[in-house]
Parts: sequence; C-alpha cells; structure tokens
Amino acid sequence: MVVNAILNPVLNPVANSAVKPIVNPGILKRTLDQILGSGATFAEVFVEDTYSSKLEVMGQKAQQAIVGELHGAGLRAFYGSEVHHVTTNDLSESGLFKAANQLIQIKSGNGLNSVKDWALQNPNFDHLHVYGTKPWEMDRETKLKWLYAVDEFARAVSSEISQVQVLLLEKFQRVQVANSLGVLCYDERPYTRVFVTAYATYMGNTESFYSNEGGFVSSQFVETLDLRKLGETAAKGALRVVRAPFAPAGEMPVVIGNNFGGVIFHEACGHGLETTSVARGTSVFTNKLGEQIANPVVTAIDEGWVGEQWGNLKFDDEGRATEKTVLIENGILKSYLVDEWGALKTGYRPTGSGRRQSYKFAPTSRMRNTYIAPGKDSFEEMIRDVDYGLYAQTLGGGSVSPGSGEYNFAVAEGYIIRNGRIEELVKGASLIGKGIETLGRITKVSSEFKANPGMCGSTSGTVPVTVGQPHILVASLVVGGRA
Amino acid sequence: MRKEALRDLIFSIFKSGKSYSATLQADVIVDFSDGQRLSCRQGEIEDYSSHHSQIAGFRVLLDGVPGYASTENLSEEGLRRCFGEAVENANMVLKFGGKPDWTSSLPSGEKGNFWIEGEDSPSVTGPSIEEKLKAAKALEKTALDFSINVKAVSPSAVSDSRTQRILLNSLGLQAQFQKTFYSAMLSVVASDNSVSKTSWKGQTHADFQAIQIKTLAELAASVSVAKLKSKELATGNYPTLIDRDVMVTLLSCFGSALSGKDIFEKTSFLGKYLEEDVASSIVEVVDSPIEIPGYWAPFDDEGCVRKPLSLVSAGKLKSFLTNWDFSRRLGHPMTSHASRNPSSDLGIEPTSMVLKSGKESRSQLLAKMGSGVWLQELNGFHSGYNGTTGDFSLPGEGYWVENGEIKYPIGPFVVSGNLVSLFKSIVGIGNEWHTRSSVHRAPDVLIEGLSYAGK
Repeated sequence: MVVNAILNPVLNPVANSAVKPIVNPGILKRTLDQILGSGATFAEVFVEDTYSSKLEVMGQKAQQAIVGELHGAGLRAFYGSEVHHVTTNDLSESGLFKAANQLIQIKSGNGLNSVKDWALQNPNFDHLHVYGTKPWEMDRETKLKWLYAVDEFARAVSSEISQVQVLLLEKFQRVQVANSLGVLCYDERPYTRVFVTAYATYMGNTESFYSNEGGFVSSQFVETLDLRKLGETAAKGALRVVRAPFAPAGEMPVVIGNNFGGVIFHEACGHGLETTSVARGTSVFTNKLGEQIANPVVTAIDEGWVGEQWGNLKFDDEGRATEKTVLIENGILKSYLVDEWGALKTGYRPTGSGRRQSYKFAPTSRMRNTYIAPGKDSFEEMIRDVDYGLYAQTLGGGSVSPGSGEYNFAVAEGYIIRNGRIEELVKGASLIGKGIETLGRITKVSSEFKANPGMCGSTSGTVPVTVGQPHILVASLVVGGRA
Repeated sequence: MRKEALRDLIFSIFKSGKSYSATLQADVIVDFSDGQRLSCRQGEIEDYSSHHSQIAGFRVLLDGVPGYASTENLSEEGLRRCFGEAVENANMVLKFGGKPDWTSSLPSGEKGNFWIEGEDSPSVTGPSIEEKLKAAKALEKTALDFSINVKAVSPSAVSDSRTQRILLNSLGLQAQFQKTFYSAMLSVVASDNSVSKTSWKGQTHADFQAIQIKTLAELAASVSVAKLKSKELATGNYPTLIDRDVMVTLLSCFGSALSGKDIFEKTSFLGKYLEEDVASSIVEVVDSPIEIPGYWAPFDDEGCVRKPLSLVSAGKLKSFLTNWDFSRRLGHPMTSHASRNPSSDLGIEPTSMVLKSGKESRSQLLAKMGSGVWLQELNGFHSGYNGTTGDFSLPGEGYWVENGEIKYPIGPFVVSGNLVSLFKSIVGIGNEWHTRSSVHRAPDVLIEGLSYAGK
C-alpha cells in the first residue's frame, strides 16, 4: 500500500536541463518588468498547462471518459499589502503583456517607472520530478480493466450490493513560476486517485460507503494497489452501514480512529493556523505563538514532501521550496503556515505553503501533508478508558469557521463504546467542537499512524491534501445523532 | 475569433467527424467569462482580481455512446485536437465498455431559435471600480459601526461576473445566452474576549443598485454579535421553525435528489415516491426557470426549451427531473433539465425551485409552535448530508422560543433527521420568501420536531 506507507521521503533527482518550459523565460522577465514598472513591490507570473482525465465504470459498464486541458497564466502584484491578480488564456508575449496592463490599470495612472536591473534564476531544486509516463501515454484499456476489477471485487461480496461506481481520476499539472524575487522554476505534478462507492440495499433501504487510494504519483500507481481490498472495503462498509441504527445524540468521550481521522486536526486547528486568517486577525489562533494551545501529548506537523503522499509539492505555487513545518510541539504553538503575502503582513518566515487550485486563483497559505505525530498510548487502553462513548473508526469530510474555531465533521463508520468495549455499529453521526477546546481535550495519542488523501476547499480553490494521525482519545465532544 | 467564425469552424469540425462514423453526433458548449472582484479592509483596497477565461467542451456520440473532452485553447488546432479526443473517448467506451444498455442521441424536435447574429460580447454598462470600492468600504464600515463587539470584517467584497454561453450541435442547433450578475458579501467576526463568533452573508443581483449594502452589513453584524450570547441547548427533540434561509438549502437538496440520472442508477432515496406522498399535503413545489429574470437560459444544456414544472402538488411527488437521455431510459417525460459545463459530462439539475408560500406570518408561526427552536443556520451539507438516504446530521445555530416569544440565541448544536420525514412533518408555511442569495425560493416552515444534540 503506497499511500498509507510510513512517512519516508523518496527523492528522484532530475537535471533541470531535462525540462521544457511552457513560456520562454525572457517573456516572463519582460512581463514582470512591465508589472514592476507600475510601482509594484512584488510581481509574479504562474503559468499552467494541465491535462486531466476521468474514467467511470457504473452499472458494470464503462459510462464515461472525459479529458480536459487547462492552459493559462495568473499574474499577481503586491502594492504594499494590496494584492492584484488577473488571469489569461493567452500565453503569447502580447497576451501576457495585455494581462499585465489589466493587472496594473488601477495603479499606473501616473505612468510607468523605470525598473532597476535584476535577473531570474533557477533555484537549485535538486529533487524536481519529471515523470516518464504521462496519463495520456498509458492505454485506456488497461485502466478500464482496473476499474472493472474493482467493480467485480465489490459486487462479489454480496448480492445485496445494488450498485457500484468506480472512478479513476488523473491529473498531470505542468507549472512554471517566475517572480520578482528572482525565482524561476518549472515542475511536473502527477496526481492519481481511484475512488469507489458501493451501494447496499437491505429491507428496501439503500446506503453507500466509499473507499479510495491516491497519491502524488503517475498512473502505474494503480498497479501497486490491492484492488480486491479497495472494492471489498467499500462493499463491506455499505453492508454494515445499511443494517446499522442511528447514532445517539449528546456529549461524550470519542476515540477518533486513524482512518481519515487526521481531518479533525485539519479542521479543528490547521485552517486557523493559515496566515490567510491569522494576518487579518480572523483566526482564534492569532497572537498565540509560543502558547500552550493543546494538551502536551499533541505534536502536529505540516510537511511539503512525504514519500508519495497526495499533498506533496517540491515547491509551492509561489516558487518557494516546501519544508517540514512543526506547527505544535508538545502542545505549544510553534509556527503558522505562511505564504508570501502572510509573511509580508505578519513578519513571519514563509514556510512554502502558498497554494492554489490553478492559475485561476491567487495563492493563499494552505496545508499540504498535515498530521498529528504518533504517541505512546495504546488503542486498547483508550477504549478501556471509556465507559460510554463513540469510536469514530472512519471519518468523512468536515469544515471550520477559523474566526470562531467551530468545526464539524461526519463519521462514516462509528461504534458505541460501552464499559470499555467496542460494541454495536451506528450510522449518521456528526461531531462538532471548537478547535482550541478540542486540542486541550486530546488526552491520549496512540502509536498506530495512518495517512489518507483528501481534497481541501478554501479561498484559493480546491487542492489535494493528506491528513494523518494515530488513534486519539478526546475526553468530550458533541455527537450529533438521533435524540 | 468572432462568434460567427467560431460557429462555422465548429460546424466544419462536426462535418469532419463523419469520417469516423456516419452515425456520429456531437455537440459543444463554449463559455466565455470575465469578471472582477474587489475587497477592502480598514477602508483600503485589500484584493483586486480580474479573470478572463474561455473554454470549449465537446460531447461526441459514437453509435450512441458518449465521449467528452474540453480545452481552453480555442485555436483551430486546439479545437480539432479536442474534438479528436472526445471521439477517442467515445470509441474507447464503445470498444471496451461492453455492449451498452442504452444508446444516447441528440435531442430532436425540441429546438427553439436562440441565435442572435452579430452580437459578440455586448457591452455592459456596470458600476465603475470606484463605485465597487465605495460599496465594499460601506459594507465594512457599516458592520464595524454596528457594535464595539465587531472586531473584523474579512472579506468585505463586491464582484461582478459575465458569462456568454454558446451551444451548437451537429443537427444544426445554434443557441447562445449571456448573463451578468453582481454580488456583495462579507464575513463578520464578533468577539467579547471570551468567545468569538462569525457570520457570513451575501447577495447577488442582475442590477448592482438592487444590492442592499446597508441591510446586508447590518444583518451579518447583528447575527455575529447576537451569537456571543448563545446558550447551550439540551439534547432532545423540539418543534422547529426552519428559517427561510435554511429552508432554501434543504429545498436544494430535495431538488438534487430528483435527478433522473440518480433515480435510474438507484442512488436516490426519492426513486420510490413518484405519485406518492413525499411531503405534507400543504406543500407545493415547482421548478421555474423564469423565477429569476435573466439568470437561466431559455434552453437547457442540450438545447431543449425550458419551462415551469410542478414537482410536488398537495404533498405528492409529481415528476422527476430529466434530460433527453434519461427521460428515455426512465420512460419518464422529458423536462429539459440537462446540465453540463464544458469540462463535465452531461448531468441533470433543477433550475429555480419554489416552495410556494403560505398565509402565516413569522410571528404567527412562532405562536403556533409555542416552545421550540427557530433554526437560523445549518452548515456542513457537503459532509453531513447523505444524498443516498436523505439523512442529515448537521451543525446549526438558532434561537430558543417559549410561548411564541423569542428568548435567546442557542448553539452550536447538531440537528439530525431525514429530508422526506422533514417535508412530511410540515404543519405551517410562512408568507415571505428568504432574503438570502440563492437561485431557489422558500418561506419559513414550521415542522413538528427535529432531533438536537447539545450539552
């Protein structure tokens, strides 16, 4: 299993001479000069050429095949802390100049200034990837066979499996970033994800359950997956949930499992540590650097490059090398997630966290591979500690309001804990809480770590992220179910 | 490239497709869009953005099997390559997908005349950047002046968006539509040092002057400040007045579950309810593409003429939503609800759904409820709403009501239930629609009870 492997960087050095830029660097330099001439204190061009593909098997048939191309540039300027951003699909020199003129139109009323000599330089990203096999180079019959196999494995579990949908989602993003700090870099970013949803029908009711695997890898990644496990996980989950009663409602201890469990830190805390909200004073974590904001058992990290994880980036969308950022160490807040604008506003050092969905969005500070580090407690001990509570084995998605710290997320599969034992399965639970309160209520952290891929939506669009954690015990959370 | 030249090029590409197969059919959606967004902070511009984009998406039917491809490169070379990829995709599904259960086709006999010669990106006389900045500043200032507890407004933003859509197909359909909309939005953070609360509000209109800047800002500020006094709600079941702002989102979930595609694939909980009771007998719901003038094109994304449709009458489900393809698969009338973006496959979506208003005012409904919850906010639908079953478990906030009087704010809590059960338990419908930005319309709704998780 690649995605859930122990975090262990695998680098693949490639000579920068192997790459072919999307736009000639000379054109980028002249475009940046045009922007700087308006008095901008920072100028940036982000160029993108992306191929995406979606294959779907549903109802035991190939249902659809879609490919798409994104081809454009986002130009950005800072005037002090004021940010201007424009987009264009025209990557010719005249197209970029036209976009630059639109970018500076509000600020260039007094004419353009001369720009002092400066140069673009290719930073030494000695581990940039250039991938041999592109998604469009692999034959689609092979890909469809993978999907049919998953479909068959899921359906073979039971005749109560009434529907199965299998998706193969591939994206190959080529990006070029140039900015007035002198950065000029190019990278290729492959994303591959298989997503399975199984539907089970029992006594006239239908429920669904999903499983997925994904990574910052090219299409051959699917060959390394256990397709039987992928299909059966979804099918068996649907069969369990369709028979389950609804979760109870109320405040109780919750053991959050490591199966997408990392989403709790992502929502409860991660978004509130982005300078996008910290710099504006709209995060509950503003001005808390160096303070004890979590129980001492909690250490949390956001890392730019981990093995073949889904949230990987060698350099961020502002051309800055990504890094391992320790956010919380033994409960003390150590760092925020800082992009260029956030650094300008707060004075904190950039952490390589500037991200955007595509050239259509201005980058903001975002998470990459975010996880709670393994602890020393045992899972069995956590369960034994609970008289009555919920074991949230598998979590779904969630959301947060950084200004209040209030978050929520869904429990895809949960079990009642009674007298220190895991008992019946329950469905339809949601968990709500406040970030800082919840961090203080994490009383145990186990050693069994697991990471999972997810998609995170925010101001700068939807980006791939990894969430990871061991099992944790939260002393008290509000569980939404049926009263 | 001018619109007419683009049309002629695409028709020549369609014609060339006959060399792949004499039975090949195809359509294309081309979108041109541009817009600006401006936000301010502490009385100055914080962000200014401007976007310009173009994209074409082909759908090719090869022996009735679809293949899709999209590109932002609208040169002749880019469009021809994109069309070729759509043909390849259709061919691959046909070749390796096994014998199809059903072969699709382009719609015929449903065409209107939607093409206007010579009208390329008509000029728009909208507000200037200065006017937008003035509005964004007014949003922020009004919210900050509302209370000393309002600590920050971010963002305080005004935006506009123009989209021109062109739809052409190989049977000769030519259609185009353009719309321009303006939005204002703000997020307010209120704090009393021990607790922080937020509120986000927005409005969208075809007429910039129709946006009520002061009302919008005061609403966002008052909600966030009121939440500072929130009390916890005890876990239990309570009669509930669902605010129209919340009801409109629940109505949207109901509409999505009526998709003929989901019904056909047996993934929607509403499949078994046709001509059955799906709501209380006082509930009437229609889908109306004319509800918001200028918002919906007169044709759907396959080119079929849109028209109003009764969905729920006297509590009974009267129709699913279909497009040309799934109306034939389901054996259900075609309702012209095809939905497709250039980069997506063909789907089905409602236009503007309207839950017809009743005769009771909000105060009458509160009095009728007696004691219970006035549910004002419900969030987290993307994870807490199950579109397969209609079950939901969602974080919310509201007010506690006693003997028909609003007492104090409550929350956050988790509200759980099922959409059909909720619609069936409606016992009162308000006489005013919501003020929030939405393509749907709903009044306040009184229901017998919902399950709440709190302290």
